[in-house]
Amino acid sequence: MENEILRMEHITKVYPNGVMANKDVNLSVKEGEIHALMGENGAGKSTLMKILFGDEEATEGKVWYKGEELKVKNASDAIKKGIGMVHQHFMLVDSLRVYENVVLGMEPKKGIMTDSKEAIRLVQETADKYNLKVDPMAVVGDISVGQKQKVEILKVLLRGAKLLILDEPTAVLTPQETQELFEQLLMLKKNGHTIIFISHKIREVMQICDNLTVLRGGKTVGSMEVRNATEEGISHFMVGRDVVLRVNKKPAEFGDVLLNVKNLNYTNKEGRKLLDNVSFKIRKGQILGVAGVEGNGQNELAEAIFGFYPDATGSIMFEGNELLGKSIKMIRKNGLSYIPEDRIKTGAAGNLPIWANLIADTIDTNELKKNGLLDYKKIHERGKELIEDFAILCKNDEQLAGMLSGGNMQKVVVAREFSSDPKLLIANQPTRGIDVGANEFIWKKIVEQRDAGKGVMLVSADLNEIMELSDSILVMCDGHVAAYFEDASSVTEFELGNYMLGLKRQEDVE
Amino acid sequence: MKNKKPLSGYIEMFRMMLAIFISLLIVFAIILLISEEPLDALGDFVFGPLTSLRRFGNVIEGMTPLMFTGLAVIILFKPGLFNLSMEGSFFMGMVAACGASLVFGLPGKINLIAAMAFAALVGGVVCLIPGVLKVKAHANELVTSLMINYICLYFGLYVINEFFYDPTQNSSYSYKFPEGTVLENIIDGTRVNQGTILAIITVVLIWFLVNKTSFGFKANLVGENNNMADYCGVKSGKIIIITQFVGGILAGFGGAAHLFGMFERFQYSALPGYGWDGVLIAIVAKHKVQYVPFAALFLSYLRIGADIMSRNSNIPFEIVNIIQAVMVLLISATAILSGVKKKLIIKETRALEAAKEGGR
Repeated sequence: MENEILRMEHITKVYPNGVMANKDVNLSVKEGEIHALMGENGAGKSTLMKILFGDEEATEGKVWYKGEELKVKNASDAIKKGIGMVHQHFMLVDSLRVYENVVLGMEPKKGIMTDSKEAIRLVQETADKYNLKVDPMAVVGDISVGQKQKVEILKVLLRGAKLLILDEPTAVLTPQETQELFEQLLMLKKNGHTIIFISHKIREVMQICDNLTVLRGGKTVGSMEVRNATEEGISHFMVGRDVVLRVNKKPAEFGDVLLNVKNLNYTNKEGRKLLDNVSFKIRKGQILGVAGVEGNGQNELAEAIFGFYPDATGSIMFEGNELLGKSIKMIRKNGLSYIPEDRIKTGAAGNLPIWANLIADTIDTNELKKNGLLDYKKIHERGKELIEDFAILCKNDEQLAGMLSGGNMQKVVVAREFSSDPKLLIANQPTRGIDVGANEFIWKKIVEQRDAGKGVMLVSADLNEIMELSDSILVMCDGHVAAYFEDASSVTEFELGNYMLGLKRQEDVE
Repeated sequence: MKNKKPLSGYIEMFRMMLAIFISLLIVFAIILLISEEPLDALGDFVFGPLTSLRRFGNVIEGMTPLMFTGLAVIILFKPGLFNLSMEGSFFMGMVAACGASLVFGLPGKINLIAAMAFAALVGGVVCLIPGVLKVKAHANELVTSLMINYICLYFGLYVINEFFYDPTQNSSYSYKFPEGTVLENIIDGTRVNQGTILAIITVVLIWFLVNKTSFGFKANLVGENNNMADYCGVKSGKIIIITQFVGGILAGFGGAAHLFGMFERFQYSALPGYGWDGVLIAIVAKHKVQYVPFAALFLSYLRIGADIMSRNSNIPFEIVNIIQAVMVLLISATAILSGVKKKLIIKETRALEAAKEGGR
């Protein structure tokens, strides 16, 4: 093929735990294009890119790069060949400055000392060349997510990458920041770089990509030119059936006030004020979406309500009971449950079997015991039931949770949190990094919860999710409530973006 | 549908056997190098413990302290801590048992039971200290527990020498334990005593605690992911403190059982090392309670075999430590056969995939 820069042929990968992540996958990328790699999570996108980048070794198959067979043992090998990767979770040192991060490991030297001046000049030059506006002297911990991403891209460019892999780059960005990123990507393309854009957001792919390849269940489903593709067609490709990510919701019927948060303040150990006089209410039958650029207090708000910070001040009334200062166990007993932001760090224990993950919150209830001892028959019954109800794809309930794909692991967490039949569900990024199918399923469950007259607090960085699901929307900026919209349909994504970025703020929000 | 265990599931067992086989080869090589009668020496090492009831009795009686400290280590490490104070706890258990038996002066077996209970309590407190320091003050339990072992040794020796020293003995031996304060022999011609039975009962109880109670589940959860435990409403700090106490009780009680089963007076002047052996037992048993007796049998057999060999030949007893180290090294080296396992898994996964395709 003309101008082909990369060809991955018949890639098969079996992980040591017996998961076959790639089955005979083919991928062909032309020089100077933006190529979308699409598919649900667990479809094998990450595995394929890890093989390309040298993080994993293919069990079978060959990789051709610039006409030669490519054999990379590790990431630094790949970088030497001109392949760079911008990870979904940034690999930056928060306490260092931007330029220090960018040149880390390849510092220009003056004698044995780092030549800071030269480093700053180098970073500034590259930044200017590609129109990536960042301040080289800023401390990485202080800059926004969008800025951090630019630092990551700079890092890759400065190491001479011609082929850039971007792993779900827009997952953490506001619409405004996404548009800016797209302009920069087009700029890179103009400069002759090739980009592999990993995403499952169809609209974004339609907007900037030239070609796309879809993976499903570890196999290549097909490749096509974007200009010949339709949204429905791609969607069909990705999940094997027609799914348009929309939920059918009945009009909301708000009931009594369930949760009443008043003047909630929280300052962390480092003295940063993360919650600043936050007040709001959630009613029965209401999904309250909490929007905001990540790191503006949404996560802390969710965690504070669920008892993570006993030293927060203010008041959290739930059906007439004060929750503030209560233990998580008591808060759960009051009828709250929580889907945490990070399923690997907090939501699940990867080394424990699925059944153990499913009952971790209810282990002290008598339902699962007989004569005071654990009743494994009941436990496994419960496990099987939840696996079936939540369509968790696994061999059986003895399989370790860590072996599941992202979407299925998240379903385990969701199943557990729903199993206690909560009055109020706090869902913190419930669909982050999971596939369309699981996403749709979890949305449906959340709407069911609301239709049953229960309350839902939905924290999400995905504005589309907020817009689709929420009945009402709360926007957070810098720890305070920047705006509240009783009727979610009365506001546009762009308008939300203005409040999220702190460009606008409603006065006297209640 | 019944799940047939795939071949790759047996690799663990093959690996253990291979490790033992390789270490025996190494042992044989060592013996060949230094012995004039290598075959006799090897015979003594491998079969020696089976040649008489007394010798086999030595193996069984040697298992008792190993089982207790092995269990202690499994429980102490369960919530993800490396609390090594079981050595001090075992030692203080012996000191407390000795002291209590002499001070309490209760009639017959009641004195024995009271002394052992007191020893368990003291042992529990010893292991509790690093746990509490970890939870409340974020002190590294590895450091504090190692320090505590020194405190235990010197404090224990002080107690024995100051209050229970028998002046008719030349070194720091205590008075004889009161009559009746002894774990009776159960097999004539050996020193196998009721302590072994207590150890087996303890294994069963701890197996229940770990596998059948919600406490065991929670301790496991804390060890696997303490963030998740906290967020699921399990108080990880509380679990850590309780497990350290329980682990200490096991070590302290083990110390008392060892003392009353094997001796008639306290006669240690250094840490006995059974606590460290507990780590070996836990590793060989893969931290599974039900394998503890087998691991203890294995280690005890090894030692008695080597002891017999060194007495009958010119091979020094120190060789035993080398052999022991080689075996543990190989058993804990998980990479052995991992290549074979990987290939097997790939093959099985393929077969499974093919079956799925065919079934459609």
